[in-house]
Amino acid sequence: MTDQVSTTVFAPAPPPIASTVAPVPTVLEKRPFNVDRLTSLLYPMVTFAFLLVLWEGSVTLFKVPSYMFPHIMPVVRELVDGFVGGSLLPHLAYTLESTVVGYLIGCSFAVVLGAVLAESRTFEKFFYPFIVALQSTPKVAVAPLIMLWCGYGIASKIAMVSMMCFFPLFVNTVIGIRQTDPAMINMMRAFSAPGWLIFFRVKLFAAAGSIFAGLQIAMVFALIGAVVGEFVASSEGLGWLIQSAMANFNTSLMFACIITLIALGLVGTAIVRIAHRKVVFWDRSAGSGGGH
Amino acid sequence: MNALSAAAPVSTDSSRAFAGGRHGTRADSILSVDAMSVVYQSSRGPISAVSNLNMRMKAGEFVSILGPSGCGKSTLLNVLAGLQQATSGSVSLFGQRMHGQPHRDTGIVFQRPTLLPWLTVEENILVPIDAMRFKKADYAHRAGELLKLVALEKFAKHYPDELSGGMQQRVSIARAMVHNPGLLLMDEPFAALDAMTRERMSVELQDILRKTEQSVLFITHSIPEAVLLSDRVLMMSPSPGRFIEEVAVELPRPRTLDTMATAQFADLCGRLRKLYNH
Repeated sequence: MTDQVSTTVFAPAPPPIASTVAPVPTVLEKRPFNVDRLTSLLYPMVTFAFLLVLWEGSVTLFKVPSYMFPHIMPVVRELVDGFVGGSLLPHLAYTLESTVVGYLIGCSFAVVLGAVLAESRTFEKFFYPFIVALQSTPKVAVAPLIMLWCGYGIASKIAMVSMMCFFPLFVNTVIGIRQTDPAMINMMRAFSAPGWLIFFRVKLFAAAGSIFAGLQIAMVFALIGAVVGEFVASSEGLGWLIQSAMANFNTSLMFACIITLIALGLVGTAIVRIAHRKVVFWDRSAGSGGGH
Repeated sequence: MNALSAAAPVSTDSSRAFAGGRHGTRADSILSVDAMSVVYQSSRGPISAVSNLNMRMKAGEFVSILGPSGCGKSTLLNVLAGLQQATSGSVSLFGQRMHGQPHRDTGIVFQRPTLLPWLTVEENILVPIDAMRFKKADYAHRAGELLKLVALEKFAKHYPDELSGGMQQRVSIARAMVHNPGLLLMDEPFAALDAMTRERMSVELQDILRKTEQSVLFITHSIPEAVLLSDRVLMMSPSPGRFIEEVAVELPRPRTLDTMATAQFADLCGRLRKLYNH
C-alpha cells in the first residue's frame, strides 16, 4: 500500500490507554511520551533537512535546467504566491471538496455493503465473484468512462473518489467483522442474544480497528481518485493545475501542487488516525499503523 | 489473602427473593439429562462425543463433571447452554425440554473471561440483561451487589484490560449471575489461570456461592478443584464420554485451603485419581 511509509514513519507513540482513569496496580507501563514524541519528530526533520540540501546542491552542481527540476526558492515562491496571493486556493478547495464528499459517500457504501456481505451468506454467494473481479480492475482505467457518464464537473470527480475509496474499506470491513472472536459471539448466544444485537453490540466494535485501518487507506486512495479525475477531464483542481503547468513547463508550480497534495494527504490521514485512537480506545495498537 | 472477606455479605433472603421463587421446592430436580448422546459427523464417519449420559441435579447443589481433556465434558456443557443440540436423548432444565436454544434461567462462565474490551466492568456485567432485552436500569442495583460479592466494587468503571486474569474471571462470574439464573454453568473457569491464582479463586468461588445458594454445574479436569468445591463429583471417561462413577463429597463447609491438607481430602482425591487413570 502506498500509505505504508507515511503512516508508519509519522505515527506518534500511542498514549497510554489508562491515562483517563484512576491508576490501578495492574495498569501497565506508562510511557514518558512527550520525550518520545519530540525525539520521534527530530529524526525525520534531520532527514528532511538533508534531502533539501541534496536537492539544492545537485540542481546547482549539475546545472539541471529549471524546466526539468526547479530550485527550492521558486517552489517556495509559488507556494507563498499560491496561498498568500490566493491563486492556489480555489484549486485546493475544488480538490478538497471532491475528495471529502467522495470519501464520505464511498466509505459509507463500503461499510454498509461490507457489513451486509459479512453477515449474509446469500448475498456473498451471489455477489462475491463480481466483487473480486471489480477489486482487481484497475479503477483508474475506468476514469474516462466515469467522465463520460457523470460529465466534466465535480460530480464525476466525486464518483471517481467514491469508487477509489470503496474497495479497501469494503474489504477491511468484511475481514474485521469476520474476525470477531468466536468466543464473544458464543457468549452472546449463550445469553440468548438475537443475531442483530450480536452484530451491533459485538461484531461492529470488534471490526472497528480494521474499519479504521481501511478508512486510513481509503483516505490516500481518495486523493489518487481526485487527482486522476482531474487529469482526465477538468478545468479546476490541483490535478488539473499540475497538468496545465506541465504544458507550460512550469515545474515549480507542479512541485508546489504536489507539496500541497502531500500536505492534504498527511492532514487527512492524521485526522483519521486521531479518530481511530479516540473511537477504538480499547485497542492498544490503535492508530499506530494504518494499513496492516 | 482473601479479598472476599472484605466484601459486604449479600443477604440470602434478598437474592432468593430475586429469583421470584421460580424453582419450586428444593427437592425438585432443576436439571435432568436422560440417555443423552452427541455424535459428530466427520469425513471419516460419525464420531461419538458423549454416549448415554444420565444425570439429575437438585436446586442449591454444586455438581462437578470431572474428566480428562477430550472426554466430551465441554460437549455436554454446550448442550446444556443451548449452543448445541443432542443427537439423541433428552435434556430438561427446570422441567422444560431443551431444543438447542439457550435457557434464560442459566448463566454461563467460560474458560476465558470473554469480556467485551470496549465496555467497563459494570457494563460487562449487564451484557446478559442487554442480550435478553431486559431493562438495564432494573438490574443496575443487582450489578452493584454482584460487584461487591466478587470484591470488585472499586473497579466498576474500569476496562477489562486494566484487570488481572483472576479479576477478569470474577467479572465473568458476576456477569453469569446478573439475571439470577437458577443454574450456573461453569466450563473449566479457572483452567486459564496460574496455579496460585487458581487455588485462591476456588476458595473465593465457594465464598461467593455460600452467600447465594447458587446451583452450579462445574466442568473441570482438576481432581483437587472438584473435591474442594463439590457436593457430588461425576467422573467421565473419554471417547465416547460416559459417566463411570459418582462420588459424594461430604467434607464440612466452608472448605478452605486447610481442608486440602486433611486425610479425608487426600483420600477422596486418591479414589478419583485411580478412576482417572483407568
